Amino acid sequence: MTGKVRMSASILPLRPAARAVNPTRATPSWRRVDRRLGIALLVPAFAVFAVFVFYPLGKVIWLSTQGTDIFGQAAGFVGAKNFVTLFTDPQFGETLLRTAVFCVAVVGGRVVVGLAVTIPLTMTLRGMPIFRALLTSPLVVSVSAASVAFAAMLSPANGFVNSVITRFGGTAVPWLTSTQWAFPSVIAVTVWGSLGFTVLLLLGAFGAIDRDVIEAAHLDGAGRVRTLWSISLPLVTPTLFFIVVTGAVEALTTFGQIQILTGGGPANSTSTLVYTIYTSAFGAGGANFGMAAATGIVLFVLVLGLSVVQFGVLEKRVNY
Amino acid sequence: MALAPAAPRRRTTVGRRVRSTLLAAWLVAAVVVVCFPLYYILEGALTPTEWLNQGLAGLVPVHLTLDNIIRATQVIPLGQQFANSVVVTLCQTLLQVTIGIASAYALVFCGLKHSRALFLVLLSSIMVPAETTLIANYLTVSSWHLIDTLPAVFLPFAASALSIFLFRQAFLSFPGELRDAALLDGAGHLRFIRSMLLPVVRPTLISVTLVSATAAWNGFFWPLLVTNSPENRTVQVGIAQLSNVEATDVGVVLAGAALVTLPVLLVVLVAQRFLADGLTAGALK
Repeated sequence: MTGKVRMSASILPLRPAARAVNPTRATPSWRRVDRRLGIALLVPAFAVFAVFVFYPLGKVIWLSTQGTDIFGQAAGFVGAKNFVTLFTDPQFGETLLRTAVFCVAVVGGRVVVGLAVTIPLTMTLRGMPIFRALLTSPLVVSVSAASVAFAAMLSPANGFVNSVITRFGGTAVPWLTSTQWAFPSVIAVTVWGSLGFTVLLLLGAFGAIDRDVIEAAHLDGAGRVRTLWSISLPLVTPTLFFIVVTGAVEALTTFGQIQILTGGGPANSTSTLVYTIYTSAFGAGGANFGMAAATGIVLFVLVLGLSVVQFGVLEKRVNY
Repeated sequence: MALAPAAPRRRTTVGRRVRSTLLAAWLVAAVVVVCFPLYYILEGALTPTEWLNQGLAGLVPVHLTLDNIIRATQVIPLGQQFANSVVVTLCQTLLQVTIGIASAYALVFCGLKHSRALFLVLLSSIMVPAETTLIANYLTVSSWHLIDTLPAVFLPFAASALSIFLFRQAFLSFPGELRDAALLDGAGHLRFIRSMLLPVVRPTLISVTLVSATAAWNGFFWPLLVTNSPENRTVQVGIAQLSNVEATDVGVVLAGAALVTLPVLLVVLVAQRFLADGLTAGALK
């Protein structure tokens, strides 16, 4: 008993070890009360996660093996039929590919633009705090607000962007209404929406670099570019890695931008995995919960894979 | 060496000035591009649509008016939706913070046998995307007859793994002897939490509160699913609808966008450090 108490207590720093080897009482009475209290205090969190995370996960797995009747109700076990339907449907293949392109483009955009904005912010210049504040400010704009603002700016007829383009003699671009432009537009809006957070993270990472290391590199004759490339960037790789993995999960689950800017169109050209979950469960085509659930499971597997990569690699070194 | 002198040094100051100018130019360009949408939202909210439609000239805020905001509230029940969002944000944040503190206290201070395993189970909920479970959650909420009510919006997010994680980390650095001493001296758990623990972990408390509140305020997908009638929508869903209905009236749409942005902007201006700490906390460990 004593040993067990010590084991559980050992993750707590600074707790006096002498307490656990108290010869008269292995478990002081107030500590036993602690345990009952502890279990009671954990009940709300476990209840919420049980009802709204773990049970629904099980239910979605079950739903994904069910057919769907015309009322959207589960209609009998169909095994892996939903998954077979999904993976033999060329449109689903396109959606998966589009989702992958979306993730790579958004994550790549975040990293490239984030670094292009943050690296200058780490240099010395008068008024730099103001630049930092301004360049992290997109953080305050919600997905919904950003999307309606961009929808207004990119509107084909009277949008700001097209009015400027035509003013200087160009032709108006159907930013959100052509299969050629809608997808890049949604990507750009998504990158913009996550830029403030990216810059904030990178500023923290660059700020945490020991100045002595940089000084030493300069004394050894390394120029600015060399120092940046060989010292600073390797030292911020853990943060870059974090941005890549969590950014991929975020991009994978993007919904608001697509819903508001394009509604998945035109001709499905901006419909991603999550958007097809929405349309097959709640869209105009009727409630096909079986197919939506199967799509949800595909999403879960992808997110799980990314989480495993995140935790697996973060435990090890990411530097150099 | 002693003669090395003026010429090269002069060149370096010139070089430095050129570099500073280039740096400033780059940063100004970045600010123009990055901050433009935010400027457009705030300026457009207060500018008549006819003036906004003038293109570049419309960017000069010379015709300021509250007309857009008034008209926006006439098209959709924006005031009611704003109040809904406030209620949802308060409830969700209060629940996430309270449950976060309770769970972390249990995991750190109550000598539970499998504390770490219990923590990992709670943490594993992060790996399940809300977009996967939303069909099942929708069925649950509708079987409870909560569709089109505010509890439907915040109940599924009553607990947050991130908040538990952050409180646990803060509590772990609290000196154990201090706590044992307080309890042996007869302080109750609640008294200890209120008058010793929370004051010490105050930065974490503020950060978690701000991060939870911003996330609750900004929610879109789930509130869109579980509310139907305009007067039960949250304001984020409301402005999306506004932009659908009044797509041609840019000023009205931007007034809606500005209204949902303003509270977060105020929080950032007042407490940027805490929000930043909370947002970046996940990346640092």
